Amino acid sequence: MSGGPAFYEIRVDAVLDDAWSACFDGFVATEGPAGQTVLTGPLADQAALHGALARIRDLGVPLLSVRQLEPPSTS
Amino acid sequence: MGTGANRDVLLATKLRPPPLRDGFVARPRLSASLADAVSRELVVVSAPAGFGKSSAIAEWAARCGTPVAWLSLDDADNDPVRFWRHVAAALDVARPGIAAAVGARSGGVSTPSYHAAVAALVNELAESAETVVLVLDDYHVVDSAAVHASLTDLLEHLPGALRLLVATRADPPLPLARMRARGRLAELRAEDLRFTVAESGALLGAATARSLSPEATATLAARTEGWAAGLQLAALSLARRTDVERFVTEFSGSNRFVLDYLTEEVLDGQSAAVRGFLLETSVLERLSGPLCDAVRGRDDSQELLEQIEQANLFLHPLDDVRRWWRYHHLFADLLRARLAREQPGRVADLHRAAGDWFARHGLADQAVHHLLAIGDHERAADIVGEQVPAQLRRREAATLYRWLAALPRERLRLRPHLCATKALAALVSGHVEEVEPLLAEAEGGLDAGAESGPGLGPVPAVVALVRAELALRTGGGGAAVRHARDGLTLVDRADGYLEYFLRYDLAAGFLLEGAAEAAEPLLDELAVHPWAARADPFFAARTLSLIGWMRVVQGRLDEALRIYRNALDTWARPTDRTHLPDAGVAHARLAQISYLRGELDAAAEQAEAAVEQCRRLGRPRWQVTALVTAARIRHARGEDDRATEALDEAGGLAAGSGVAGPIAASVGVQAARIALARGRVDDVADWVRGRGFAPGDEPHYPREPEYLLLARFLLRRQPRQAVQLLAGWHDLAESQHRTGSVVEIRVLAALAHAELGDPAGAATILVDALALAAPHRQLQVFVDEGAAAAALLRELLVGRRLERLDGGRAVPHAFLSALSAAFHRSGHPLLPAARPGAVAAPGLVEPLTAREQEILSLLADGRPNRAIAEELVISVDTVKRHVTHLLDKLAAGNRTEAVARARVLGLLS
Repeated sequence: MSGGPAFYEIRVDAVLDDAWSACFDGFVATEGPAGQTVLTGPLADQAALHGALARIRDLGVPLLSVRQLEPPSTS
Repeated sequence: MGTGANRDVLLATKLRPPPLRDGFVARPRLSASLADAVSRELVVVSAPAGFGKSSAIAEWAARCGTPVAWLSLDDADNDPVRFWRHVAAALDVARPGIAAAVGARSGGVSTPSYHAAVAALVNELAESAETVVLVLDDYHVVDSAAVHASLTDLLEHLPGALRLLVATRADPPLPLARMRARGRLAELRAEDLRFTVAESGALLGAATARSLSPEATATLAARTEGWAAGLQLAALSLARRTDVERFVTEFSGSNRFVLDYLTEEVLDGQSAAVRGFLLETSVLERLSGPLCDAVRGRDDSQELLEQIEQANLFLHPLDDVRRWWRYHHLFADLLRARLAREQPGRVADLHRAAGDWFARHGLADQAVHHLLAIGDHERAADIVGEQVPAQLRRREAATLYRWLAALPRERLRLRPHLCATKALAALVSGHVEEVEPLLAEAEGGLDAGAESGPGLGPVPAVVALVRAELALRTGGGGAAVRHARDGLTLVDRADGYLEYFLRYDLAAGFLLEGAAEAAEPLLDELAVHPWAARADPFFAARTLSLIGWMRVVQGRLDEALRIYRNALDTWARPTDRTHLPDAGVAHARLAQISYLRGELDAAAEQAEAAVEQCRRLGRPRWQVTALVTAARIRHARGEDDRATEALDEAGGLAAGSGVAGPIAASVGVQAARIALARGRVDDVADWVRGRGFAPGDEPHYPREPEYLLLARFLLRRQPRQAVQLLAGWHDLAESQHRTGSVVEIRVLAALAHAELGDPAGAATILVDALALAAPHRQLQVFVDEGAAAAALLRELLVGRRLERLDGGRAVPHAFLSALSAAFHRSGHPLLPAARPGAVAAPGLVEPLTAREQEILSLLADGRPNRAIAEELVISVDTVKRHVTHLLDKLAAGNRTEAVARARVLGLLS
């Protein structure tokens, strides 16, 4: 498992509008299928990832999945 | 700063269950489940935010009739010392007296042992018959491995009268699977907590004071999925609306996140003032009128707070005087999320204002929390720096560590005093691997000319203290002395903590080196040090424990005994706050002292208690020490198999937990000693070869036990070498005022002289040893040398030989009697076997027959021979013959002298 900065995709089972990005620093909220929302953004390390997940938990938003994304190509 | 009072105010707010508010809906099925669940040792109520966990538990607690101790946890409870102090405070509400008993028991500069607090708690509750339930609410905020471990520890030793109820958003890392399998765990989870349609109807009806149609109720229950927070928010929205059906339709038609939708609904229904207030104050974990005024820059907060509480807007009072409140956690998080969206620019200002307010009011924890939240590391570092001495005085090193760990390394590097403090806090709170790099950074920062700051005192002195502590942990007395001395040149009394512990470490280092003469004045001073009087009583108790150790080394066993017995008594008395750091240490020392006195039963009891306590408290060094003492006791009782068992356990433990130095060596020494006593000379020779002794070795206290065993080995084979070897050790022990060692060395020297064919020299040395040992009844050291020592002593105890040798500073007869009794028990009696009715005693040339004893007591009455003859119906000649024998056996010249001597020898009552 990578410990350094990476992009993550966090899928939640609730419809969050884009204004929620403000609560998840640097994340973009996009609408997923059937009432889901996909939050995508960079996280510095494992601690940041756990912090983001705790924030989701504390807002009572049901968590569906977490996935690390391939780094965006910089060509 | 009114720090103390404020701290207590905030602590009190953590000990109240959330109130059952007007319009609250009873959920009897959950109360029944909980009532049933608490028959298990652990109940976990695990469900996402807003599922009504706390409310359900509070409802049950209010009606269950069982005493309930409530603790609402927050971030600061990640310091195990605090966590357990708060637990004790919570239990104290249900069981007054517990907090005092447990309060000062955990932590310390070199013993991060929160286990002690757990043990104290277990002991306090062990005797109790009435059950108390400890509720730990919001356990998900705990991420400290030390807290989890200590709670697991509690679960493993849970007293019968204690039940644990943990409410959390995430399953805690406790041994749930194991406890579940053994039927020790009960759980309530999200599915249990969801509101049924009927319960939803009751909640909505009660909150809106009207009845909803069954369809509307069913729709809302389905849309919120029985989520308590959703239903509460929905009820709040409904309460102010007339168009109920429309609200229900719109809400169920929206696919937005339930709580987001409803929060907006609720906020939209508020006045602009209330709405603004809710958002602005959402950054606060606790709210008071003055605090909110400061954060908002207004002066109407108290009024708004009371108004908001009235309106049931998720604001819980934390006291009875409307001084502190908090929002329901989930509601606060939702408000914060909205604040971040609507007014992102204000968040930092609000936190900063809150941080300032808390700092002004001496509430550093909250101040640091707010400043760290907005990344104001500069201000946070300032406040942490100011708080260092007070935190350490309260033994909250783990809190210091947590704060300092939240500051970026680059920031710390610019502040060497914080680097050094973090090294100390890391050492104390169990992050030993971080210590050296932090010290290097502190020193590097100083070299680079970074500014130093307030805090403990001069940075190099803090570094020296940490290095001294590190040295003590590995038994490096010499290094500890060097570092502590370096540090002490840089500090004065004003440096409180720093000066105290540099002195403490210097004394402890000296004692590891055997230098009792150097430690004594230091410890005398520490016993009355002004800093200790203001600090947590734990520190004074630790110093006392060190003094007790010094007394053992000095052979002043009476004083040592008093110190450790008092310590244990005090520890057991809940009303006194002068606690011993660690009962295991006291038991281990008491076992050693009782052993030295030949009180083997008492010693065995103490050793057993010590091993058990140290096992429970996770103190391997002391556990090894206690096991070795147990082995000595068992060997002395002739139970060599059991002695070997104890040594095997000690050896395994030492190897497994990295115990090194003299403590680890003592295991091998004792094993070799038993081998020598059993005549397994080859084994001992192997041990001798393995220890790498060299002829020119300078005596050095940590290795004394090994060298004294070498002397025992040489005694029979090369007594002259033994005498030479012992001379050096004797001089060192004497110059260091270690009377305990001096006695032991003299006993061995006497044996060596006897082997050399110098009985007179042997007798003189032995008498010196007896004279030193007698005042503190140190007698086992003679008994341990078995038959050889018995032979020497036997000669001394005949008639007046001892008196002639010690020239008047007579060894008290009581000591000789005790010595004789101990040798008798060990199978090497000092006195000749007496026939039934006869009596043998030290100082008698031969045992007195029954008839001679009768005549002796008549002589003591002043009866002349004739009267004695009449009384005993024997002839006067026979009386005269008996009297002659009596005078011979008592080594007395006439009757008067004989009676006087008989009294000295304890033969006449």
